[in-house]
Amino acid sequence: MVLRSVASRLAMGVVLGSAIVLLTTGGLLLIHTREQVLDQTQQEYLALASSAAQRIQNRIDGVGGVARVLAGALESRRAEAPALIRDVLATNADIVNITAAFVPRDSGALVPADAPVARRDREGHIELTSRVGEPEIYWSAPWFIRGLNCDRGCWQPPFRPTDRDERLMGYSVAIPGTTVPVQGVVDVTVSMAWLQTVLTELEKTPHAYAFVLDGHGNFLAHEWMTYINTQASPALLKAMAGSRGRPVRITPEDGARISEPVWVYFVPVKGTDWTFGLTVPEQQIYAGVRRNFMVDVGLGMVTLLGVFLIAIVAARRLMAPLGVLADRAEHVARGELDFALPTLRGDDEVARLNRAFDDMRRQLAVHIDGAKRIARDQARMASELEIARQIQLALLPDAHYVADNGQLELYATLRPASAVGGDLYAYFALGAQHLCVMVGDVSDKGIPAALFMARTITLARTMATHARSPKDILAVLNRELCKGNDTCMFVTLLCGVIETGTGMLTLASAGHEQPVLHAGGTAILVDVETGPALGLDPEASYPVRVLTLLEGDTLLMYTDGVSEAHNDTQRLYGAQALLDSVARVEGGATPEAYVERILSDVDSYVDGQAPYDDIALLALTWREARSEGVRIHAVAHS
Amino acid sequence: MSLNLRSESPTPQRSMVWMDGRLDAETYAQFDEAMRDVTPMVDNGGTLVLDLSGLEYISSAGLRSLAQLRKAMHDRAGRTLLLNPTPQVRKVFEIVKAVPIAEVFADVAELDQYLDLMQKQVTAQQAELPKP
Repeated sequence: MVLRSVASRLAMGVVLGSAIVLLTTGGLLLIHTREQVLDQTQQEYLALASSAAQRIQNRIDGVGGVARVLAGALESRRAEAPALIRDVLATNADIVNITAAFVPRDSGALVPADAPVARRDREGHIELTSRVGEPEIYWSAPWFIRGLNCDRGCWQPPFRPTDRDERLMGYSVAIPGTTVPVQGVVDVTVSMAWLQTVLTELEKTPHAYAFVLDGHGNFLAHEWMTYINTQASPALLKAMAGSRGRPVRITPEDGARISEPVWVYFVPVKGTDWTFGLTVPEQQIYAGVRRNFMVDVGLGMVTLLGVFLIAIVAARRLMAPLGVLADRAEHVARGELDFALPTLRGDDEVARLNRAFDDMRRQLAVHIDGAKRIARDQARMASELEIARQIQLALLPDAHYVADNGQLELYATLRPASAVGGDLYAYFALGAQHLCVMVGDVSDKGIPAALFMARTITLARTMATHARSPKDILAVLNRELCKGNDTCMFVTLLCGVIETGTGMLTLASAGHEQPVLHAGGTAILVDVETGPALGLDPEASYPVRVLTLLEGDTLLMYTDGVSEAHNDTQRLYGAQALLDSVARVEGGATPEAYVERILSDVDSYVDGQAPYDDIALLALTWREARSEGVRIHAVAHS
Repeated sequence: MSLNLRSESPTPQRSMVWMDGRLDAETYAQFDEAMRDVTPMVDNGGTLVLDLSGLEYISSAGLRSLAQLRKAMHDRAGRTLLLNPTPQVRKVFEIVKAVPIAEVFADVAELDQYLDLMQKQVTAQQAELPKP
């Protein structure tokens, strides 16, 4: 539901896109910087280890320097040994004791001066005693033997004296002799506490720890005190051997006494066989990278939030008019066109849409007005057409007619294809003995045809009254219709004049279909030579055809709405089908029966298709005089 | 069904129009419209020839259009001649006689013969006129 508005969807889209871009570039950047960060971290730890090693070395150099100076001085001044070592101890506060042990001149009679030792007690007082008299015989002790061989100086293994609660370590230098190569050993003993202090004072990350290994692989110092004086694990020693100044990674699987993968930085302490080591858990090294990653992720989140807020605010502002337009469009859908639209400046799409919408609304209003007007006009037109139809039908005489003498009966019908049409039929008496019948078809259809039909039928009734021949009737009608006929409307007309007493029929045609005669059980087309259709050529003349009707003969006059009726295959009904239809009518049938039969045949042929053309149909039956009553009746009226 | 028209006016004296399809109540307006463009191309006294070989059907509305066209040409002393109608169309011409059947020709040769004759008559009339 939150994503229903375009604005929030747009904002979400922007955020999703930005997230993808950020993640991709962030990921690539992280991969790129990870190595750098790692390298930098390694360098920092290496530098830390180096500085610690340097500090240790400086201290050792001081001690070594004291011992070497003493050894050099004692070469020729054995007798001054007690005073020398006492003075030196007094000036070097971090030295615990100094021993100047000489190879005894007579091992059977040791004198204290053979091995004087200056000691600093707990209060800082210096006391001068001798190794002679101590339980351990100094000249056969391992430190002395080792010292004799150290003419350049070397460190003795650390030890814990009985009287002090700290570990001590001696630096021994052989005292060269004047007659013999070596005449004794100077041993400067320092407390190991300072080494431990160096380790603990090292500023390093949590979980990292430092240690110092001697040349035998024993921990001289270790932040974990219990490790001190123990042998390092083979894994650590192996790593140290392969280090060559570079950090080495060790895992618990290697057999080291560690619980997680670590990196160890080895730095040899110059002047000794010691090695300073710094162990840093791998996690700590990656912590920098991880922290970078977390910061990046955090910044990315903040950026995304910012982008989302900006996008949603911008989209809302841009889309606000669209919401109004959507609302207004619903108004339009309901047909309400009178409403206010937002006022928008600028020329962006929304402003253009707004303007177009406004134009559309106006246009629509105009069109709706137009459509309403057209609908009103159409309704009026339809009602006018209906009235016109009534008027047109009123122009036609009754459908059924029987002559006064009963010998002539006719039936006619008119079926316009639309409201009004151009077909016509008419009959009227010419004097007492003659009846004029006509069937016509005005060119074209609809209102023009209906008007021309009205004109024709009215003219025929008025102009024909004095004529007795269809030839004259057509000629006079033609001349009248030609007048002012610029549109070249015309009417084809078949005109017959029948002598009611004799059945003599005179026919003339102005371009009209040939009539059908049903006589003696057969139906034939009566060949009437046609003249031009009425209304075109004022000079036209019309030949006549005379025939005499016999008992029961029926003459059918029709328009092309019958003969040219067509079904959906576009095939015309045709004259032959009409003849067949007529032939099937039983002899003696009324004219109405003929008309009904033909119409129903045409209807079934057309098979539901809308009538294409108007239909006019007139059937005329002549009977011999049989009934006295009728004859008397006819005479009475003649 | 529709009506297709093609016209050609090689000289101001004579234009040809080819008709194809049906000329009835639905298409005569299109025909009238097209002829309003063609007839001015023909000089007074010229000849407009309609080739009806492609015309399948003509209704009374179509006949009225032809009659009107003929009358318009006639008023400008021109002629409208119909060429080569199909049998069914010719039959309609013959029955309704909306246009004089003498102006309907079966083929071009017959038409040319007629036009030659007309020209000769005109020449003869001019020859009879006294020289100014």
